Amino acid sequence: MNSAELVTALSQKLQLSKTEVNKRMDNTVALITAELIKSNSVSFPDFGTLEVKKREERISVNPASGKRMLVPPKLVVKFKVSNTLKEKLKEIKI
Amino acid sequence: MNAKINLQDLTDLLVEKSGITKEEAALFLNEWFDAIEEALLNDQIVKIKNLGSLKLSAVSDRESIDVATGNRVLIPAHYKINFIPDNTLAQAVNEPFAFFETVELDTDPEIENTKEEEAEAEEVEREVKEELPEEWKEEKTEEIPIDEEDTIDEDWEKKLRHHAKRRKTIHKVKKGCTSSIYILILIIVAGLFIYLYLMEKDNPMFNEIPYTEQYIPDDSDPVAFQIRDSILQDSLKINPQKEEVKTRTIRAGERLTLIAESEYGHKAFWIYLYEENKAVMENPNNVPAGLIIKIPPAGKYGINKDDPESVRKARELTAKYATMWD
Repeated sequence: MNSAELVTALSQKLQLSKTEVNKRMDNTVALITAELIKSNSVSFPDFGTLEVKKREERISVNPASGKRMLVPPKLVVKFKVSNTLKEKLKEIKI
Repeated sequence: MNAKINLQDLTDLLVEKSGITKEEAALFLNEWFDAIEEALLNDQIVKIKNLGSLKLSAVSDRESIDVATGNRVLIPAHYKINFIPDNTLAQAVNEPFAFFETVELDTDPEIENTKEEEAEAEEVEREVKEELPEEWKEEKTEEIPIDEEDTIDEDWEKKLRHHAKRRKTIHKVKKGCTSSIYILILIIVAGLFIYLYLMEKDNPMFNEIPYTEQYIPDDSDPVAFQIRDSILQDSLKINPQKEEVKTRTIRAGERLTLIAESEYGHKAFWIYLYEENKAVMENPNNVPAGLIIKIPPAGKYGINKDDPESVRKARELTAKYATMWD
């Protein structure tokens, strides 16, 4: 499901126009992004947590050329699944 | 920094930003997460603009061991959630480290380190080599009786200083230690061999053979070459006029075949060694160390390593004896 489909589904559920839902969603995403930039973690109950993690610098070797590259440290967004969602995932049969 | 923003905080922020009531904001966020969850479980993928995508990926079942009980446990196949942040989000978050770039390293620090270590080890080896002869010299001077007390003191001082220095250098580089020990052993073994060789040379039995009077022909002449060979072989034999039989003491781990190879050039001839020493030897497969055996001259049994017929005869004789020991 992509963003547009999600907006459509939400507008039907909330009895709101698509533009309104789109606006609220954009605002929410902007807020989350703003918090993540401040290295704050954003948690959603029964869903999970978005948090910022630092990846340490490392040396990687190109297997083809044998060149050694120093990869700089990096800040990445990590999603931590909540236990309740994990349990739900376990119930799905593969 | 590192604060936790929960749903309540997010609702308040959304109220501030969008100008909607608190109830509306709470309802919207709840429904939003529900929709995301539902879509994720149904479609296995949800894309949210500017945030990223959540994806379900299958993990096949695997066996694990329970840390507490040590029993084997089968972890059933399940799904896990992967979050791939949107590019804009990833870049915004990584802003503090954005100025870093991946740099190519042209030098290999690990290889350099090992090279340095090797060079160090070599240096130590050289040092030890240089030190050894000095030490020997000193030991020799110690053996010579010296009347004057002063020189003895000096010697001892020198020796003590020398030892202290040596210990320091060895202590410094542990790796060089093992190699220096090997070198010591090698030098000792080499010295032993040289000593034995000189002893053999001084043996009157060998000196009796007139080496200088023998005709040593050129290698280019094949006939002469053969003659020379036979002369050399004869010279290796014990002088028959004296009827002195060459003997040899068996060393630990030495076998008849090895002796035959060194004496006659072919291990098949070991059987003649047994033939000659039957009286003292019970089982040729297990020769006790310290046993003195006679080495018969090659001519006695017609031993010639270059003659296939001679080798074959030796083997036949071996086969004849073989039944006895089995």
